[in-house]
Amino acid sequence: MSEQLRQGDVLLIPCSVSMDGAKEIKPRNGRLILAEGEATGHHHSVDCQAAGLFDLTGKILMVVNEPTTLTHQEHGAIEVAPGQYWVVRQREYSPEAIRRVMD
Amino acid sequence: MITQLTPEQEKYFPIFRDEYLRIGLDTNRVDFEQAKADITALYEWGGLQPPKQFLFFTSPMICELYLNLIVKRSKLVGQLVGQLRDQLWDQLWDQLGGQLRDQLRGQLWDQLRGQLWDQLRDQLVDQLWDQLWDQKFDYMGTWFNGQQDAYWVSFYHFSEFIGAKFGKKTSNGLDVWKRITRSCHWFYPFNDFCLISDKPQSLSRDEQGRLHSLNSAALSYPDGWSIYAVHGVRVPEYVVMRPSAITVDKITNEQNAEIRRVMLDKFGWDRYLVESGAKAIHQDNYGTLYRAELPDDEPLVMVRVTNSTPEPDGSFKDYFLRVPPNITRADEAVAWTFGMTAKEYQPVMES
Repeated sequence: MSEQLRQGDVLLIPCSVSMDGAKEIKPRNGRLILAEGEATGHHHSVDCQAAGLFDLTGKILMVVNEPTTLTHQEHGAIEVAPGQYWVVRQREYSPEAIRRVMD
Repeated sequence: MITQLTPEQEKYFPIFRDEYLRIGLDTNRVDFEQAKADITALYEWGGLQPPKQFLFFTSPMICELYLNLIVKRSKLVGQLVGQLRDQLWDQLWDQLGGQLRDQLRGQLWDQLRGQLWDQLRDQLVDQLWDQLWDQKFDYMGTWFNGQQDAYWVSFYHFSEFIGAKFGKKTSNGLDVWKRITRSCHWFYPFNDFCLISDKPQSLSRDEQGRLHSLNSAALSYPDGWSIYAVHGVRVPEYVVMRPSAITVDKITNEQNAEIRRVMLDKFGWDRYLVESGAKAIHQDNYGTLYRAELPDDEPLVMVRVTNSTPEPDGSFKDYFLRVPPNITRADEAVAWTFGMTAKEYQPVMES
């Protein structure tokens, strides 16, 4: 079983799921973009020869066929073993809207 | 009985509505002579002598100031306002509403009422003007809001356009108001005199139509009287114009939770947490969890984590992530940011 890997704000969680209904996400310049920085244009990516990236009911699934490397401009590279992974982006909590008290 | 719109009317409807929204938000200067003429027509419509004197002011605030300082000494003011309100406004509303009820079928009434009256009222009155007044001010207000009356005028105007027939007097009254929505902002009609305010000279809103500007007044009048607001939350001027003047003390002492959130957005939630000396409530290999209580608001709970990849100078950068207030452990907090429980979250490699 592969292991959880984290690069910055992206976590890869090993999984084993059916690919029914998976929509392929196209690579850009030979790279599969797992997540992109909003302001910087930096991104977490892998070589599209080694893996496939899919949208599965709104979640992002990566299927790695041969050992590859997850890279990012500001984070160390991480080796990724073959297998299926959920690609999870880190989130932050935002508080509930304040209910205005009518006065 | 009108039961539905023709395809042409359907097509024209959004253009018509946008036009009235534009009128309601217009920031051009009031043409005093035009405003005088249109308000005179309103007095005449109501069977009243036009006022002897029209006074033109640069903002509703100055109108209010004038009323407070000069006019309120006379106890007649309230009475006079009531009287004119009845003759210049209530009567027309009753007539328009009563006459239209028999001509528009329920569903179409609801549709037009919802999409013109309610929506424009929300945009022009609820989102903007209800926030105008400082509670500290003993303000009189007026029932005559000129361009902001566009919401109800547009409803009756469109009904007329699709074939509703009003009595002659009612129809004349509506015509006067069509002109007033275009020529006037707030005005205060009394028997002997009428105060007329200029329109705002700037008005900026967010996508939801709420008063909003991050670097200027959200609403300002030619005399400089202004309102600062962020996504509809009215804030002191310095919060927008001199955010560097925001301090931990000012945030802590702010009683209004909405204003405090705006201040915290500008100041930095993490910076507040650090500088306010918030307590670390849990620490482990994943990070440190801090908690600060905020009156009338959710507690601020953030986990401080350290980048796994060093900076170019070899140091490791810390950063804060906000998590739900019920979280009590650092591992639980970090796991939450990835949608997992502490037990599930077991990264082996991190960079």
